[in-house]
Amino acid sequence: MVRISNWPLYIDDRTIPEFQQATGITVQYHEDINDNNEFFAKIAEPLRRGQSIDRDVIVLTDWVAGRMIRLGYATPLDVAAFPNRVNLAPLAQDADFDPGRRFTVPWLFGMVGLGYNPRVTGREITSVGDLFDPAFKGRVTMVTEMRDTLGLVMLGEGRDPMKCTVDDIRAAAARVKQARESGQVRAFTGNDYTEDLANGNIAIAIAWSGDIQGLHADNPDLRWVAPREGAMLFSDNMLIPKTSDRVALAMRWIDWCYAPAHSAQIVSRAGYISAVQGAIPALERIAPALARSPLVNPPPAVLSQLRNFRALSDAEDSEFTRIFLDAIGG
Amino acid sequence: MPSAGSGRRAALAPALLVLPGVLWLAAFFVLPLLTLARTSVAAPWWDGYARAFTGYGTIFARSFGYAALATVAALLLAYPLAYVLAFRAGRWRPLLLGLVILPFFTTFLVRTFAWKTILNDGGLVVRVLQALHLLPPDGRLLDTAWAVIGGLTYNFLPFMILPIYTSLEKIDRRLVEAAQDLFSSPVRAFRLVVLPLSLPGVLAGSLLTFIPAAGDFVNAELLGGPNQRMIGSVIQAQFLQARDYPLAAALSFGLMAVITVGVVAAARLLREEQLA
Amino acid sequence: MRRLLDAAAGLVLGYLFLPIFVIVAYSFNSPAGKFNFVWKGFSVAAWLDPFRYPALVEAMQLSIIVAALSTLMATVLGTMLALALSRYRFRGAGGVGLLLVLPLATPEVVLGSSLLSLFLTLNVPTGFATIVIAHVMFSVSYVAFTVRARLRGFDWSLEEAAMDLGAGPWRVFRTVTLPLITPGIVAAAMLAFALSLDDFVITLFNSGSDVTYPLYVYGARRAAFPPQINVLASAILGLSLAVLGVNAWWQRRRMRAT
Repeated sequence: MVRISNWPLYIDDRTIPEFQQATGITVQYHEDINDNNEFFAKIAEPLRRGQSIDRDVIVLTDWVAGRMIRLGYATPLDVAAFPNRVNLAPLAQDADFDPGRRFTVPWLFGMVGLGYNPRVTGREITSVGDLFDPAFKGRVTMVTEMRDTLGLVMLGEGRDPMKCTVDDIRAAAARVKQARESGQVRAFTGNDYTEDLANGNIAIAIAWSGDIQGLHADNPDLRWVAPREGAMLFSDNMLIPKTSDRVALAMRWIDWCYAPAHSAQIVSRAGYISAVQGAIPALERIAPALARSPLVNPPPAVLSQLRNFRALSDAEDSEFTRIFLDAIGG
Repeated sequence: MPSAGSGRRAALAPALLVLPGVLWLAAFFVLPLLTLARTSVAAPWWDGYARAFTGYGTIFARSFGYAALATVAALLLAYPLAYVLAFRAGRWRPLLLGLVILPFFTTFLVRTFAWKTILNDGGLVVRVLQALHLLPPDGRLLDTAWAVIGGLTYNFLPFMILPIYTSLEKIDRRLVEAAQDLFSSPVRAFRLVVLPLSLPGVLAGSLLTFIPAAGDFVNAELLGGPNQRMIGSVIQAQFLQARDYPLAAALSFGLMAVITVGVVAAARLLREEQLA
Repeated sequence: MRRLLDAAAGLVLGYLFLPIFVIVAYSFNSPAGKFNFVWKGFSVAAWLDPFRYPALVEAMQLSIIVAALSTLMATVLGTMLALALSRYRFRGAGGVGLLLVLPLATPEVVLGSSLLSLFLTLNVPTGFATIVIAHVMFSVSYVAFTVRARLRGFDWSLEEAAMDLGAGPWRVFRTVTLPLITPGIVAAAMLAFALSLDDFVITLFNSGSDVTYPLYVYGARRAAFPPQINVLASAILGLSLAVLGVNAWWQRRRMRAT
C-alpha cells in the first residue's frame, strides 16, 4: 500500500482506481495538506527523530520541498524506476530549490495572479495596482502565502522576486500593511476566497489560476488574469519523505502520474498546469475546451511573464516570514 | 460528616481516592505550566518577554476588549433566561435546562461556521440591518469586530446562564415573597433582594465567560478579518507554525498574568460593593 | 411584565438554537462550489452519501474513540475525587479543590500550549496518546464538580447503617452508595464525552498529525467544506437528543418507582 498526502481537490476520480487496478498496489490517499507551514510543522518533529510519518509520497510547494531537501528529510528519486521521467516538460527540468530534480518532480504548476468578478468591478482588471484602487475598498483579498502575495506586490512595484532583497520585501510588506490597516484588504485567505468571489462579496482577489478555472462552471463571469507587470509561478511537487520504507511503490505511483494520459486526467479536475509533455494533446481528447484554456495551457506571452520567487536560506525565510506576518496582522 | 471506621483507615481512604486524580493533574497541568515557564526563558532570558510586550500590545488590548464586551452581552442575554428558568419554569425546567445544554452537542466549530452562514453578506440578517439603516448599503458583518464579539457572546452563553441559574435557584422563595410584599414595585424587589443574592452566580458566569473568551481565536479567525486578530491566534501561530517557542510561551504567560490581575481586581471590587 | 420576561427568555433560547437550525438545514443544501455557506437548493444527496469523504469519517472515528477512552478515565478519576471531597474531611482538601479549579480558570490556549511544551521537552511524540492524556486532564475537573454537586445532601449515614449490619466497605459502596450516585456519574460522563468530542484548541496543540473531527472542520475552512460535515454534526445532535431523552425517561420511571 502506498500512502499519499496531497492538497484537497487536486486529483480526479479515475487516476487512483486505474492505478490500483493496473498495478495491484492499494493507494491510501489523504487530502490533509491545507497550509504549507501547518503541514511542515506537523511532520518536522517526527522526521527530525527519524520516525515514520506514515506517508510515502507528499506533495509540497516548491519552497517547502526545498526546506525538506536542505534538512535531509527527502529520499532521492530512483531514476531507474522512473521511465516516464523523459516526459518531464522543459519548464520543469531544473529547479533552484532542487538542482537536477533529484528529489522532486512537479505534481502541477500554478500561476498566481488576479481573480476578479467583472460584474462587481465594472471594468477589466489588468494591473497589480488595481488591488489598491480605493474604488474596491473592503472588497479585496490577498493570500496568506508570503511568496505569492509579496511576490505579486513586488512585481507591481517593478521589482523582480527572483532577485529580491530584504528591503524590497520590507517595502512590499509596508504597502500590504497599509492596505490592511486602511480596510482596503478585507481578508488574507487560503482557498476560501473562491466563494466570496463567486458571490460578488469580493471584487478582486489574489488568486490561484486553478481555483478560477474550477469556478467557471458555477460562475462563467469570473476571470483570472496575469497582471501586465507579471505573475508568479509556483509548483507543487511530489517528494518521498526520508522515513518511507516503500520507495519502490512510491516510484510506481510517481511514474504512473507522468504518463501524459494520466496527467491529463488530473489536470481535467484540478485545472492547473501539467509538467508532463504530451499532456495537452491528451487533454484535447477528454476535455477539449479545457485544453484550450489559457489557465491550463498558457500562451508563450504569459509564460514569459511568469516569475519564480528566489530560493531563500532558512534565516531569510524566517525573517521575511516575520515581516510578512507583522504586515498581515501578527 | 461521619468518620469512617478506625482513625488510620479514615486517613487512608480519602488519600487513595484523591491520589490518582491529583497525580494526573500534577503531571499534566502543573508540570506543563512549569515547562512553559522554562520555555519562555530563552537566550537572553528576557528576549521572549521583550518581544511579547513590544510587538503585541494592540492585539492584547483588543482581545481583552472583545472579551469584556462579549461578557457584558452574555450577561444581558443570560439573566432573563436564567431568571425564568429559576422562578417561572416549573415543571418545564428539566426540559428547558436540557435545551440550554443541547447546542453543546454540536461541535462549537461547526456552530461558528453556521454563524458565518447567518451573517453572510447578502444574507437575511445583513439585509435587514441595511433596511433598518443600521448598516450602510454596502456594509457587512463578517470580517468586522461585531461578528467576532457576537460569536464570542454566543459560544459562552451557556457558561453564563448555568451559574446564574444555580445562584437564583438557591434563593429562598420566602425571601422573594417578603420582598415583593415590602416593596411597592416588583422591579425594586428584584433590584434590592434578588439581584444582590444572584451576584455570586453572576461573578462565576462572568469569569467562565471572560477567561476563555480572552484566549479564544476560533471566532476571530472564522468570523473576523485581519484587523480583528486576537492574541490566541498569535500564540497558536507562534507555537505551531513559526515554532518560536520562547515568544509563544512568553505570550501565554502574559495572557494569564493579565487575566489573573483583572479577575482579582474585579473580585475585590465586587466584594467591596457588597460590603458597602 | 411577566410576559415580557418570558418573551425575552424565549428569544434568548431561540438565539441559542439559531445556528443549530442552520446546521441541520444546510445539511440539505446542494452547494455549487467547495464551500457550504450559501443556500443553493434542497437536496438529500449528502444524507444519502454521508461517508463520502474518508478523511472526514476517519476523523470522526478518531474523535469517538478518543472521547470514549478519555471519558472512561476521567469519570473514574473525577468520581474518586468527588467522593473523597464530599465524604471525608481531610487536610489538603482545600488544596485539592484549588487544583481542580485552576484548569477551568486557564485559557485553553495556555493549557494546550503548555502541554505541548512538556511533550516537546520530554521528546514525547504527539499523537493519539497525547490527545487522550490532554482530554482526561481537562475533563477530570468537570467530572469531579458535577458528581460533587450531586453528592451534596447525600445521606452518608446509609453507609454507616449498612456497615453496622455487617457489610464490608467495598460491598457497601457497590450495593448502597453506587446505585444512588449513578445518575450523577452518568451525567458527568456525558459531559466529559461531549467536552472531548468538542475539544479543538487543546487538541490542536497536541495531536501531531492525527486529525479529530473538530480539527478536520478547522482545516476545511481554507480548503473545502462539504455538506457531509453538517450531516455528521446533525447526526451527533440527533443521537445526543435521543440519549438525553432516554435518560430523562428512565429517571422519571425510577422516580415513580421509588
